Amino acid sequence: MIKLEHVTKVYGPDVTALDDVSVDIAKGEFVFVVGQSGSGKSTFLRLLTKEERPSGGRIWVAGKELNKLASWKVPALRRAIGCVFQDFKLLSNKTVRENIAFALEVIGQRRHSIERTVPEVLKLVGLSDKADRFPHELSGGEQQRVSIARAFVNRPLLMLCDEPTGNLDPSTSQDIMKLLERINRTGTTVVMATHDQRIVDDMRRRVVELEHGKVVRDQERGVYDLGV
Amino acid sequence: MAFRLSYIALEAYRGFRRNLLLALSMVIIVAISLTLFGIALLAGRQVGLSFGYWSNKIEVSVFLTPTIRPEQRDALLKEIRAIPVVQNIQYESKEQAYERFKNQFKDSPDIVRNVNATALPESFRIKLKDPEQFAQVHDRFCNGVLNDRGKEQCSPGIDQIVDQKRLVERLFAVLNLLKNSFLVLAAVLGIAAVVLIAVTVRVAAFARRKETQIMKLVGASNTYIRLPFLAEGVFAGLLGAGVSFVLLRVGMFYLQRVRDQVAIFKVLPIVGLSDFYSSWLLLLLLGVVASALASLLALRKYVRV
Repeated sequence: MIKLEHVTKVYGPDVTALDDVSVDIAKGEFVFVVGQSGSGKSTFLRLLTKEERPSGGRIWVAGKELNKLASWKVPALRRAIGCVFQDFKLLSNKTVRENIAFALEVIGQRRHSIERTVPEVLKLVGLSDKADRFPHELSGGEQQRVSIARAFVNRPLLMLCDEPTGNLDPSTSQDIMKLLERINRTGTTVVMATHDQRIVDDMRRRVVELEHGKVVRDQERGVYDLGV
Repeated sequence: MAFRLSYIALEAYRGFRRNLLLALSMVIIVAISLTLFGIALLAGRQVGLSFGYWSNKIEVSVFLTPTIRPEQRDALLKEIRAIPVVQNIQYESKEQAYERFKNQFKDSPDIVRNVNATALPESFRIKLKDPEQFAQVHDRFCNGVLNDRGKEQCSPGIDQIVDQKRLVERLFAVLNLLKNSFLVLAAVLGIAAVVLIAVTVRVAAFARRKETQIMKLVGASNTYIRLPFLAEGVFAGLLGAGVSFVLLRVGMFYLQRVRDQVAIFKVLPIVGLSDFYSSWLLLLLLGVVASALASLLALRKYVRV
């Protein structure tokens, strides 16, 4: 699903975000990318959606080599990827339902198919009763579930989550993780950048650890910190 | 990718509503620059038209002094006819001059009433083989030195020799200057309009950066993201062109009325409606293309993948 070969990303002459990173992620995997702030986790994710271009190396996502992907094909790539962020990125002037429908409207889906899929995904994230609420009327955990619903509504092959539990308390975080796990069980590959130690240790999934832009560990069924 | 036209129109309309003052100033400046450009265009066509009208009527007039004797007149006629560049020469008596004058000003009886039938000089009307060779006629009889009354010294019996072509050329020079001034003004305002549209579109894109960011993330195509902003700019161009249509049409209406009321202009052909429509179509095209380019330029940096 994802393959990085000797990928390097430098910002300016001094800042090296990623340094010779090679990672292979199979379809259906659940992978944590861990590391301290500034270790290159976010850059790693942004390279996969082609928001950034690598300074060196090659990247494949969903069978496409990104370096060779024409810019007009980037939207098609992104339709195969769902993105979730720490700050939710919901539109405050739209209701829960409208926020999710927006993601389908702007890729040109037909109204009747939108009307069918949005309730399904709302049910999946457990927010059927809050469809007509506005984001500011929801708790942080609920907002993140809306954001996950928006990312998943198009049934992407791949979910990229950048610190999805960063703003949430531990028990809410666990709910979010259960939700992501459920999405993963449908066959969707999930890559999640985090520095939430407890979550990583609880889940026992593959862990890729970055330090100063280098992969220092890539371990099946890993924990957050090898030193413990 | 099926774009919903209603979606684009609605978004453009919303953008306009959101920033009504900016939108209004966009429309005004586009309208003014297009109108100026339109005036320049129509003035240019008017020059062409008048030139065509005049060029086959251009002649050299040799006005004779009131005291000239008939035999002197005949001698002059012979002498002029002998000049190689002269194609034909016609004598116009005081009576004929008056008839022509009356005919030309038949709609302004006041003017005719105030001119005595004997006040107009007799003259020779000369057509030249080559209108540029005026000097060959002129220099033979007049010395080109103006006295303190602003007249040059000419052979006995000749009051003055007038190259009507030069008179017409002076008129055209004024018209051309007018046209060029309007062109420059239109260009300056046009640049201002393009900048204003670009800034407005950028402001609109900035105000909605969160929406566009999400659109990009979920894989909306560039065209889909940009079209509403583009539509906003083009909408301004369209409205501006519409306003310029009204302004120019009203202007033409009054110009025509003025022409019809002033007798000496009445014989002049004036730019017609077909010229007006074709000029305006050009303006419309210019308005839409320029505003679209301005919008795209603004979006190139802002709303990109």
